[in-house]
Amino acid sequence: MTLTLELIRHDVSDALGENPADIPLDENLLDHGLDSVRIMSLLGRWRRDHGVVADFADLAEQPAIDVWAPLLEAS
Amino acid sequence: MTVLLTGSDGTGPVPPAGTTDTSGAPDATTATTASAAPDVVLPLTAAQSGMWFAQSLDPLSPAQNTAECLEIDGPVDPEVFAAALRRVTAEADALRVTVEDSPDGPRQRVLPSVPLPLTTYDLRDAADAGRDAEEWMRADLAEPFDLSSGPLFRHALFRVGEERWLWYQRIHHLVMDGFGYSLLVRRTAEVYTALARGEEPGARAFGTLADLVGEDAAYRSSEAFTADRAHWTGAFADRPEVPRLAGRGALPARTFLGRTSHLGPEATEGLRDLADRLRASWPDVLIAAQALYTARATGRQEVVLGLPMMGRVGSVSLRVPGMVMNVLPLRLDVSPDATFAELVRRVVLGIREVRRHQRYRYEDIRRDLRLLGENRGLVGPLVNVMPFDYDVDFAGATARARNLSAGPVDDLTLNIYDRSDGHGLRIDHDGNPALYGDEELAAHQERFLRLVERLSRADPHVPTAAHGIATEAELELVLGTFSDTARVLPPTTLIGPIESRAARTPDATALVFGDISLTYEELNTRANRLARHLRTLGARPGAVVAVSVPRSVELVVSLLAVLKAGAAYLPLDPDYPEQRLAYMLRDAAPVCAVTDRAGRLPEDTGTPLVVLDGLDVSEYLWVNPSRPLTPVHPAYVIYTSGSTGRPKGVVVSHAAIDNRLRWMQGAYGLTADDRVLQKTPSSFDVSVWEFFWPLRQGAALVLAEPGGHRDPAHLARLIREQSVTTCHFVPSMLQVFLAEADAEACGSLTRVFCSGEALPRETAAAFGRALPGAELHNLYGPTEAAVDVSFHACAADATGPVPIGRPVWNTRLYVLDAALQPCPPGVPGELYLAGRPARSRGR
Repeated sequence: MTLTLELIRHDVSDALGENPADIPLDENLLDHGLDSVRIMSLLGRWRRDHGVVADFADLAEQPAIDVWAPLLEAS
Repeated sequence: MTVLLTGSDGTGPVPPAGTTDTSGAPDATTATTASAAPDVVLPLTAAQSGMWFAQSLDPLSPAQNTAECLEIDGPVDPEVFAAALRRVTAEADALRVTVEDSPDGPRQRVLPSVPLPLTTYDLRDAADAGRDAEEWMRADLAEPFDLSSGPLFRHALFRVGEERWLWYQRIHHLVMDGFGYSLLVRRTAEVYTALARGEEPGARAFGTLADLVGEDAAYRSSEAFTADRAHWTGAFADRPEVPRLAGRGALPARTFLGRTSHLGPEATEGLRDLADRLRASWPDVLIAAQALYTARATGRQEVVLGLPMMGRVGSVSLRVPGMVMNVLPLRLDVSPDATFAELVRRVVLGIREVRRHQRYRYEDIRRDLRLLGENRGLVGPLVNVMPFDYDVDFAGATARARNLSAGPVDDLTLNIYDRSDGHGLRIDHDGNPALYGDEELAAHQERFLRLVERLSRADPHVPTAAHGIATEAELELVLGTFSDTARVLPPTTLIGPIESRAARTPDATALVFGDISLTYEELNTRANRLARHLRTLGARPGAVVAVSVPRSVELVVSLLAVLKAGAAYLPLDPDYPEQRLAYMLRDAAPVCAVTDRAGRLPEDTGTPLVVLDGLDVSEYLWVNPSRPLTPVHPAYVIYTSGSTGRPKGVVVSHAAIDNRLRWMQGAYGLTADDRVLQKTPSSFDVSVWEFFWPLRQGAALVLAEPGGHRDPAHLARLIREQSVTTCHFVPSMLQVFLAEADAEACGSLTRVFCSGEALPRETAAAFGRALPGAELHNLYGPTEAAVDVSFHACAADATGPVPIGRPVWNTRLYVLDAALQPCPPGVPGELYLAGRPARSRGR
């Protein structure tokens, strides 16, 4: 199953313990409490469940949902 | 036969046992950058500078070696592997660096190419290939790198089975950190896989070392740098005390002591579940657990942990293998009344705050706060979580990484790896060998793992006070074995056994004072007559009679008389100020007060006086008086200075002091041949056993002159002349006695007791030298607990602080932490006493 923007947002908000509505698409997620450990664990989940091929550096370079979407081949 | 497949460079450890070197020359092929560019010379980043200074302090130290081993399951072509390593070395600037000092500070020179330091061994025929390889790696880890000559890395490839290989790499911490390893490993796997399939690997994906240096320089001249410095200086302005599990700090050692363990798959799952429920990550929960452990094990409510941070998110360094990581202090309040969920929340918010200022260097924070040196630290244990991306394969052959050294260990570091290999989390405890032995490290690890398991199962919304850090085995020891002192004793009193002794050995010497000597019968008769007189004044069980008599035959007679009448005695030191005596008389309300002469005591308290001078009791019957005395009646009342400054009366029952004296007899076996020195003023509870223990056992009581307890020469003479076998010293007086008096001449002594102060080991050692034939026993106890609650026999050759020892009969000792949970052995806490018979009560 391919990742959608909303799925990414759901998983990110889950990792941050926030409401999905409070997670903006275009802002740096570091400011919302995202860190390397959480990025790694999200990546692990997406590789397993969605066959994502991006690596850690790809996601950690610019941690924002709208930057991630193409890397995660999400629509 | 095992075979060395490719060359050794001649500088590494000797080949594993049974290996034959068939290759001769070192690997002459060099790893070269695409263009034969000239050397690039760069300053060090701040992160590297810290490493450089540390190495400069001890140039031959291997402490900054980092290393890991990848276990590869599947076929590996060693030639292709070497080719992959050559290519990755050419791509990773940091590996081709040498470092030299210059007038402008240390500089790193990036060489266009370096020879590949790779050694390959075939251990398929070895009896225990894994062990041989491990030994080789350990030996290699002990080799320091030379920063100025390089190369600052080294590889080895071991074939330990038909389709099983070990890839070892060691790199100086100045050029590589844990995340850097993961980049190197991923790229090596990628290049190897392509080459093995006959394909051209994808283009180099690494950034340059110059990028790292540039980013670092930009940060250090930015406003963010200034703001971060202000943040850290402010947050730690009060320089919180560092929690040290070993109780002290030490300089970093050249090596570390490592212990690997795993949190089982079930507990790991529980940990992840708990983290989910608390809306935290599992590392947050482990950090909270370590904070809880550290707080309890060091007896402080606030702890500062060290958090190694990769420091790469959102930075060019994400794609640069190099040294970037930083250690930052996380300050946590771990009060026992907060719940574990609240503690985890504090960790989450604390880390969020730390991360905002994470680029500011640990070394700089310490320097800003002037917290350098072994005893002035910033952080306690480090919790290093490394969830790095190690999901790699080599042309289909899967690999598992194992860290061998994560760099220098100042105190204690927990390295935690999530390698998703079905074994749960791997948790390495690395300790500074100057601070921890194998056993201590194992104990910390075991307790931490068990604590995490319990936390994972427990309700996180109850106060952390519910959790102790001791393991089940430790609890069994400290709650059971250590205090297994129950002993059924006959229900007797302090005085009863003395009267029966007098009946059994009437002619034995009971008391010696100067030229006077009394037999048991004479002493008993005198005490009986005075007792009968005291009864006419209201002395009876439950009543108190004050005794203010200087050390003399009359003092002993008076104390016995009070007890024989069934009353409790209240010793009043004639030297006390009048105000204090008046307070004690009013507070204890004795039925009468015995004094040797008139004018001893304040007269306005209304207490009837019994003045011995001129008192004739010869008309009274000489036999033991009868009295309805039971073991629960009070035997004596002694005033302590009290924590409020106001003297506090402590009432001790017959059962309590009888238990204490029966234990003493059981432990030390006084005989009729013994002679016990009485020198402690009767207002101190040590005097209780001095007076009554010998009289219960048919031994002789030898009285020192009034004030003689302060005169070492008098004491030494008395011990010698009266052949005293048993006596007591407070440690400071023992020290004076050993230093000034002719202690060696006191050869009659067979046992000496110390209490009242901590006994210094030096004093115990001096005692062993001066009186090699005598035993030294350290006793401990508050007045409230009937003199002593614990005992320890000092061995002449022992070292370290003198213990207070084990509990006496029917007494339990517990060391409890701030949450009133039992401390494991070796962990400091508060001492609590419990026991039967009912301890004494205050007044």
